[in-house]
Amino acid sequence: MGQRTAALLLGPAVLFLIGGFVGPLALALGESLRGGVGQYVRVVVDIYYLEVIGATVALAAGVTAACLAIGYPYALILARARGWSKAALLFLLVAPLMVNVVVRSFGWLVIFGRSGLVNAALDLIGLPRIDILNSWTAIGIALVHVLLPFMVLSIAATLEGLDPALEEAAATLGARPWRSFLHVIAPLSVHGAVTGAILVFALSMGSFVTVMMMGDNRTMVLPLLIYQQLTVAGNGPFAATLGMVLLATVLAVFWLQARLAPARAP
Amino acid sequence: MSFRRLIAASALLAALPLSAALGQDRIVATSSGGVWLESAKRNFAACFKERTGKDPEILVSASNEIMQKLRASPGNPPIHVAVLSEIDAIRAGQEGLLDKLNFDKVPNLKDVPEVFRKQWNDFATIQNFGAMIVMVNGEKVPNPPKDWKSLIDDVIAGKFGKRVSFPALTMPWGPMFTWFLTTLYDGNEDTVFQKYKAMLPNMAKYWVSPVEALNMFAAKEIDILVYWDGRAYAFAEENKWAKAYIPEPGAFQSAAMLAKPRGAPDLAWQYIDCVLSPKAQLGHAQTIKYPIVNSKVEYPADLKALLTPLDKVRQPDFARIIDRVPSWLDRWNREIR
Repeated sequence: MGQRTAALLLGPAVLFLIGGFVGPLALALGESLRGGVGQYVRVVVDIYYLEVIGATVALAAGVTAACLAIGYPYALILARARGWSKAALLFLLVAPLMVNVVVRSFGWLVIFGRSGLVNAALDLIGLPRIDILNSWTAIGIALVHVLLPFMVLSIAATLEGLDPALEEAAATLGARPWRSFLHVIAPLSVHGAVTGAILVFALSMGSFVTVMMMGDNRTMVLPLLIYQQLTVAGNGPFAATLGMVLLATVLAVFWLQARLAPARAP
Repeated sequence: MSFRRLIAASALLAALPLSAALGQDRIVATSSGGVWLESAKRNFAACFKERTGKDPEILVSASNEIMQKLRASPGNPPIHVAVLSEIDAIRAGQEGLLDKLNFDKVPNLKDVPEVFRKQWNDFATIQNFGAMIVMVNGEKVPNPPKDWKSLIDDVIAGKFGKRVSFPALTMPWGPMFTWFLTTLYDGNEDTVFQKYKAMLPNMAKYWVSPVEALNMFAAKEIDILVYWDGRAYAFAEENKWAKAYIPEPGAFQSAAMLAKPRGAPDLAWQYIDCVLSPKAQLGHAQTIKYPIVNSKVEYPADLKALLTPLDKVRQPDFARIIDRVPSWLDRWNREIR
């Protein structure tokens, strides 16, 4: 492929990314600095905002860990499935993405509500009711439900690319299946898990509709604060500042991940 | 195709929508969804079509979305008639995003009492309004408190269990509700926040989404809900176990504001005049079950019985609210949790 053709093919995507990300980012940065760095100082020295940043990172990390724990076995089975079972597993996985976030959240409200399906089932077997709506648990479950496909598909894509001969070789050399998985498959699929983790973490960090619907004032995250500053307080500069802080937090976590990942990856 | 030709073709394609917009042959008006959209089509668009022979495009859009679009294109708005929240209408006027309404451009404005546009400095006018009242499950709470202060004290005392939902300060009309509560407590906002905090243990949720709030009430997960009058009365009409009432001393006015963004074509004035015309206003009130503002309109008796009387409605002091919103929001987030 010639350089000119490559430039032509790449051009629209590059322009789209620059126009859709770098441009607005520069505007947001300018807006956040209107009147100096005072807004940044306000965020950094106020324990409330630091708590919210901590809660946002903790939620995203928890959702990422849960997606990894649930998603890895699913990806392993998906990668090895064939025919209709593979299609069924794929459909089951991506089905949550086909439903609008607001509708999906209402679905969870019906399930977790005081008179919802979960409590009706608990009543039926004589167990005490639970009240998990408006809590981190409810938010976590709802986010894992919708973000799981990003983790599973990333890992499954890596697993499908592995040469089956590697496992056969391990078996020939006397490795039991679990040992073969631990020393061959798992290390070779780290890149897929890392990609999935990056996607899930970034998407969790930016989630606010689910948090707003499934949580309350005790479950505050940075994107929700940004939304409030824009829509309730009408404070664009502070919303932009919080947006830049959110971006910096995500980048800082990715930087940490990049520092750690090469050492682990084969 | 050469590289230069490709660029030229792309530029031409990009310019097409712009040239259509410059034609100013169509207008884009906004509306809320559901019955509001139905009313906009049936009453406002029909009047506009009758006058101009053109069909307006009616876009379902929330006030905060409209504001972002207007701010992104000042003077060249993608929306030509905007329906905004009260605070957004004031902010848009202050930011120079709106044209002033006047009697020459909008003759029907003469029949709209000044109180419905004065606080907006004529940059917008109320097109219809409602009030936040109380819905109760009559089977569980047959004798609800007669006034707001008793209701709040009973919630604090746990009289209704954790089966109550008030609006959160963070929903679009939350600051106005907070302002209304301050008027009950001698203007003392500290008292209001203490009451908010004291109610928290017995609050199923301070609601943010109106749909979620009504769903909770409809599913009988809560017995008391502070909600808009039109929707509350409509719900009570369909569900005999539900009641709606206005606690003393009344409720705050919650309105939809009509405005023409700066740079919108002159045709937009015709649409606004249609919205304020007696025929369209009556049709609108009959469809959405909320009071309207044209003083020439006479409500039929059955409709009048459903509408909150004007003497029970207090118009918020928006200048004060706008000043206080940032600190109220901050306080809400830190204290009410």
